Amino acid sequence: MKRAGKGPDDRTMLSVMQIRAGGCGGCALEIEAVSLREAGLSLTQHPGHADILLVSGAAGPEMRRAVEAAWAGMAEPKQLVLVGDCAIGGGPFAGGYAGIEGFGLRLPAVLAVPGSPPHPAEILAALRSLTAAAVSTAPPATERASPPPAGEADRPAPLPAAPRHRLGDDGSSGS
Amino acid sequence: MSGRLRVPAATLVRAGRASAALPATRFELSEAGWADLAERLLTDPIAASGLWSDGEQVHVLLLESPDAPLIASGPVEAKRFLALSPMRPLLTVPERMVRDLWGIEAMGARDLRPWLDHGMWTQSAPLASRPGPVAWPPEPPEFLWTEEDERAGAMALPIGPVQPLLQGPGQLRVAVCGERVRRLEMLLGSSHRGVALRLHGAGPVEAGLLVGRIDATRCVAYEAAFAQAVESAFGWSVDGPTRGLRSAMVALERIANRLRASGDVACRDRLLEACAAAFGHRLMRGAIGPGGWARRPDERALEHLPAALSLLEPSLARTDRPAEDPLETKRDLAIVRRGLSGLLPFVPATPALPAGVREGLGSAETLFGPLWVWVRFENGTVTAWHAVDPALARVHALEQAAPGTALDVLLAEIARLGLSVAGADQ
Repeated sequence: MKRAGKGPDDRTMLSVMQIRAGGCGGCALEIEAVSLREAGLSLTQHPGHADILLVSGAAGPEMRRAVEAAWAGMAEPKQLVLVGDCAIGGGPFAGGYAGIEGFGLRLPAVLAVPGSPPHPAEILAALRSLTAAAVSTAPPATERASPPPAGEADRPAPLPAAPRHRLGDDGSSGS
Repeated sequence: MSGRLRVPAATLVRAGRASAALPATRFELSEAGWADLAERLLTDPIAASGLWSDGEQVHVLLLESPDAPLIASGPVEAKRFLALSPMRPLLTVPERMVRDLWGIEAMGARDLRPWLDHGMWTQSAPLASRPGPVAWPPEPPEFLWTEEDERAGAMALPIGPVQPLLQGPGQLRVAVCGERVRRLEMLLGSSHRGVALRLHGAGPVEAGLLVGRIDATRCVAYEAAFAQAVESAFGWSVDGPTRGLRSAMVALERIANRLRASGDVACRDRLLEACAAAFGHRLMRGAIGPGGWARRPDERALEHLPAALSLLEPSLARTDRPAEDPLETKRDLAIVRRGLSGLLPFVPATPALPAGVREGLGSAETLFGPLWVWVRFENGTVTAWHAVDPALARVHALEQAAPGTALDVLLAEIARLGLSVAGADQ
């Protein structure tokens, strides 16, 4: 649900809509391995209820429309997170007659987690950073998200979404 | 019925001209021979699991037994060939795909609506020697709707392309009367990436890396089947320990998929971490290479893998999970242990590529069914390829089983199957 000033739990629990836009499905497998509850998130199937849109996979025109429609259907404030090289820049499948493209240049992603696929801990860290930011800016700011447990600090931090990501020759980011 | 049609279909196929590039497996039939085969399939029980084209011919993969493949090739005349889907409904979708990709039409097919091409590609028939213009504007997909549906007061329930039932994008249309399903129709293709065209011109190692990225739920199976196809094409022999370790990896992938289906996230995660330590990737992607290994497995981590599996064994042996067959898991664990016991001589992918036209066929058993990979090389680069992915057989089985079931049962079953569309769409 959108934050509507219910109890403290409701206020800090963000809703996320996940779209598998195509590709091999590896990033979606790794998203499955993440405990969304641990990241302070609950899943929703409805863009209207979602605070965060979590997109993975190499998308052709059809799924780009679907993702863009979901994004347009989300109420502000809303955030887009791209998981994996394919969602960011099309990955090894970019171009071709099927028109595969990433969303990195099309939609204003707040976070992009590179990798093919990224490790679940990297995805979790990215999502936690969003929930932590939401808590710190939620009016009134009565609670703070707990810091990530020890041992996760050495994981690579997720990249802020940039217009172009530097990917390896094979389209991977060397995960 | 003539005497010729009383012979088994396999005998009829073998009476064709043995293909020079894949002599013991692929046989080329004349137009009349293909028509005889079509007629013979009316009564012969031989399984036909896949159909594809290379622009010149159309090929059907027949299985005399699960591990006895036979490919029959028929000529394509004026961009047409005689359909086999009336005799083998499983080939309906492959015939639709041949039309989308090659512009080659199956005469007398059960269905010729687009499957992969939803009018949004930059060209039509992209694999044909002369692709067609883009079909614009894209038309909405056409789903079946009959007068009987109308009379029965059925309702059409559209689902997708974004839905939580399939592992990836896909559209479902369910015709329902009250709670009962009259018909389920699936339309995939939204995650088509044009893998076949991307492989064109690639060498075996480069192609193998891309093949491993087709479907994350079976990337090891794809890499193993592709490596086997390349090795059979080039006549490369692979030693026993390498074969054993590859089988172990395919079995590990099946175990991981079983754990995922039963929702044991923690156990699956521990298994994937052990696999990452041994093979350099949680999905074990990129380790197997044609001719040997694309990346050397970590021998120390390999030594630790049996101990890691022993720790997981109590979780793996649980019998209270509907998605798991404990006997199958046990069998897979035995394959893993056997595969890990051999000494591994590291053989990098062989660079010396034979000239001429070579073809190979490889297979691997995924949790979702058998995967077959056929590839053709000309002077060392891929010129044609096809994978018979098990997902399409699942789609077909679901559509066949749907009529008469309760809607909620059907939707739960689709979600339970964990149908990954990535391999089906490619």
